[in-house]
Amino acid sequence: MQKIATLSCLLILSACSESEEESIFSGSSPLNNGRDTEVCNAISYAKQKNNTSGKDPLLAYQWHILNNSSPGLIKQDVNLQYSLWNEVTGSGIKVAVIDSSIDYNHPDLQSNLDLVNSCQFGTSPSGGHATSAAGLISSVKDNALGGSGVAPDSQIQGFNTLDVDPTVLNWETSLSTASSRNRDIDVFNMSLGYPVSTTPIPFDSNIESFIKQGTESGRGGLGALYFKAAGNNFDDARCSMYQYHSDFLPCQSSVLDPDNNIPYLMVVSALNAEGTRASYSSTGSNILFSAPGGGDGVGIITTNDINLATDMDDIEGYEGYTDEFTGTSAATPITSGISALILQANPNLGWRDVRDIMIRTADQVDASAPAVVIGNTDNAVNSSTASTTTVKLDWQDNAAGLSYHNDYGFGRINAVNAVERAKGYTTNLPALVSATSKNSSAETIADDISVPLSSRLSAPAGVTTVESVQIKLTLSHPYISDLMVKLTSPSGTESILLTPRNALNTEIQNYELTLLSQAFYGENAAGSWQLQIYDTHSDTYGTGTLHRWSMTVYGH
Amino acid sequence: MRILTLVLSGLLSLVPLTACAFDGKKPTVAQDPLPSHLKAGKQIRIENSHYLVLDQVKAYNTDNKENQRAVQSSNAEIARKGSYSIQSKAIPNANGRPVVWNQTTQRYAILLDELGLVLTDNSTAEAIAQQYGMALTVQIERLNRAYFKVDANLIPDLMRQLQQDIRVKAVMPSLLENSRQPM
Repeated sequence: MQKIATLSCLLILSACSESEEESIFSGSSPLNNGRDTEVCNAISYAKQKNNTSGKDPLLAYQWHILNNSSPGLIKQDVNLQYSLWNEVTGSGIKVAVIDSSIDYNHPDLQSNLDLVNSCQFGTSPSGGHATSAAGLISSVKDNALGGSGVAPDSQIQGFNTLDVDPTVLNWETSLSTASSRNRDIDVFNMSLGYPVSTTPIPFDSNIESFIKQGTESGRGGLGALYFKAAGNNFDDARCSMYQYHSDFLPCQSSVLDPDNNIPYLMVVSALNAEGTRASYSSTGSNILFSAPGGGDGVGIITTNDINLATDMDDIEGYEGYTDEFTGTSAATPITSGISALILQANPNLGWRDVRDIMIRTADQVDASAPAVVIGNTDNAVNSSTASTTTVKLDWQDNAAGLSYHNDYGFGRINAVNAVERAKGYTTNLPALVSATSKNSSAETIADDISVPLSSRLSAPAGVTTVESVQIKLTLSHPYISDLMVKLTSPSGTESILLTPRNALNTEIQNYELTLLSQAFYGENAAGSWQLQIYDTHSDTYGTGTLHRWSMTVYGH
Repeated sequence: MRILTLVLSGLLSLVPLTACAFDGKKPTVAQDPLPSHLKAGKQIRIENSHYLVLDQVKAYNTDNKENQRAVQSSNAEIARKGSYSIQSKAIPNANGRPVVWNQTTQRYAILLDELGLVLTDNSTAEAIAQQYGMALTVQIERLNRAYFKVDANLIPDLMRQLQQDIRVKAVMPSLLENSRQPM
């Protein structure tokens, strides 16, 4: 097989040289202990001229980087002062873009693309999305073309994983750091997620295992960083046809994308230009940070496919650039790019050190974002009945002195402050540990919002300081979207892990639901944790049952 | 017309929120369309879900140009899932895959060319691959799981054999059921 691959490589190179195209066959690296499991095809590209220089004409319009016109008011940026690029540009940092296909011929990207190790799955590349995500991270700066990536000297390694069947092999090829192809990847950008589903999507232990391996072994043991989009499912037609739903609650919260409940991932939500939640941005207790994602009338300027099909229009006069890119898919690569700046500033940081820095330097946005309630007697969202139950919290100050909101995590990423903190960060966090407590007593979930199920667990031994809390509930319920799940820490911090009135319009029987909260970051784990489950709609469907539950605390 | 819209929206803004009493209605479960005569086949269990392997139904990946042509000339499409066309009967000379029906969600899923096993002993993966004519592709030792490349059309029969093998704790074919997408 190795010989055939080498021969193919030579043939491709030979054939392409006549048409001034180059192709690198990167398919000969063993992935799994020498097993013949290569699934990546060659990246084909035509060499682009790389000798232009000058000011990037669209940089001044890239409001997500720095908004010079109305700082702090509209088009809120990530405080990436241009002078920061005099210190760090992402040089030496490699970011994997797990997405659709990148336009490998884009002149503003090509010199920053790893054409040897990028992976082309299948033979039908789809475009549009990955090229825009890659440009937000690493489009070339000062080449008189378009704008700039957040980390304009970082290198991109592409994987068009979303173009092909979701086999475990394809996902391992994309996410693991064990292969020779992937061992130099520092950051994984996952601008992807599940669309709205009316039935719960099972937790994928394989994906969790690949990411866990990467955080343990990547970057020479310091851990690769994995950033993932929260999802674009706050609004959906499936949640706008009945008064049962609400414009104030997510149709599919970020916790209903099971990948977002992997504690080794960093989940990013999207802000519009005003610095508040973009209308589409999924919210939930697993979100760590927020970043500009555009939308609500203002898009993000980035690279657009030239050679692949795209449904985004070019900016007039700028072929290969669009101002229509929006989504948590945009917020995530902006965050990944900033992490590349942090890693260049201090290459000795572990992945959790970077997370800690980003949490502690994030800026609170939309400080007056209100809570959402449901009336205890009329079952209606944000009605004016006297007795209500809060189903979505406003900003909460946890016992570690950090403010958290399900829409924004710990707030908007701040590039300058994060890099500055990274430079002075000298002691790595202690090793990550996790421990689990279990409660196996079955209890009834009453069909009455004012009588929530309450169950307690003592903190498991072995973890002093909380980083993330993952709970697994085994539930039966005739209509799951009636349910709200709340966890309260020993310090009294509340986190709503499952908001009700979502798209899950189905019955579940003995179903294990995995949820994650980041709201307790930095708190002391010791003491009694309280789980509460509310049925927010009295109806003819009846009661439910919590068969058992467990709580795993990740921290140190 | 614009003035009328403005007047109407102005009037609407005066109506208090509480005037819209909650009608208590809920959406009902959406399910994929499956004609009852097609709901026949062997039952398999994958993790906690039960599926029917639909005897007559096949899925064709339209990213494959030959399949694309075959699907275009067929009039038996009953659903779409990602790049797959789900057909109520097999198309001759096209490369179809088995379709399963999730009895809980009432949704289609498509068997992929990959079979996962939970093993009692990770070191048996290669021997199992050889015995059953599969290629070992991924091993996740911490989960005692091994994945093998195999023709999806062979999976229903292989599952029955492997469930009798004492080295195998569970059989988990890979499915196209819920697909991740660009966000």
